Amino acid sequence: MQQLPERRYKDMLDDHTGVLTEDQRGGNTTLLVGDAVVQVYADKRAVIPEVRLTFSAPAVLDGHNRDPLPLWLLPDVAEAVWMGVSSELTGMPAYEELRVTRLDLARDFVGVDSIPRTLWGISQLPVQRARVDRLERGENGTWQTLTRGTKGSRWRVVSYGKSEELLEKAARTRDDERAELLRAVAADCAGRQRWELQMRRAVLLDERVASVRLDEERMFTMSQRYFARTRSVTSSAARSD
Amino acid sequence: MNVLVADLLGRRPRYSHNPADSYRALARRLNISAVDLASVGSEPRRLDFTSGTEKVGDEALSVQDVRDAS
Repeated sequence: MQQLPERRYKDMLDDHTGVLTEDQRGGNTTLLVGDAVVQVYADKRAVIPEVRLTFSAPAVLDGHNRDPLPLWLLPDVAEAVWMGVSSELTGMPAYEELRVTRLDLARDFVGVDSIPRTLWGISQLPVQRARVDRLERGENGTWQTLTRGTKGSRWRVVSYGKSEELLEKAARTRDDERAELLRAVAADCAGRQRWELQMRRAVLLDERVASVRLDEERMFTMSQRYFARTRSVTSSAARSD
Repeated sequence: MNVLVADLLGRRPRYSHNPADSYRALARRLNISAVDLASVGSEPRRLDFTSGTEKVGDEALSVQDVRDAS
């Protein structure tokens, strides 16, 4: 953890001597692997200390996430990231100990006539047991993002126009070359609505997903289940109920 | 409460019995802009998970694939 530029400490008081010491609890940094930024968190508060690597798998290969990564490529990308991080930091756990604790599964809908209208239509359908349910406007003033899911950190579904999202990212970045790349890929995906299932540790445990070797068919069926659960299926005028 | 809110919105009542859904629907209704109204069409539309496309018209009314999955 000494290698991580940002570290977290907790003051520990010795009741007998009154001496106050700093106990290092964790730290984090960012590294560049391939074309993507990888966030590295070290945490030793848990029973077993862990290192968490957070990255966008398609961005490692392409520099952007316009197209979801085919799942069969995930083990190779994860290994490349692990190797990249291991070459920079010593004391990394072995690759075989890698477990998935956050997974985003994407499904793209192409040729969507009006993404704001579709998002609006879906948002009007009430969902059961959803603790997060919000529709937000993009910078151009139209409906841009619909979020549904459980409060906290179990799972969440986010749906948005991919082209609009990439253009907003391009406007925010200070790197001119990157902004140009994002604008170019955004121009190529107009009318593409992304539906993204974001799953965290607890729900991944429930779904028995741990390895980076994911079964494509099972993931598809699982996504479809959450898709139906959040009523993402129906837009404005088509009511299945 | 659902009926009251539905009256306010000028729409048919929904099937949810959760008042929070009704409040959310009302809040959203008030937040609508001219841009949103201009784009609303009357044809049924549905995102089809299997094909990854948006179905329009009669095609949108079949929801078999979702019932199978849920």
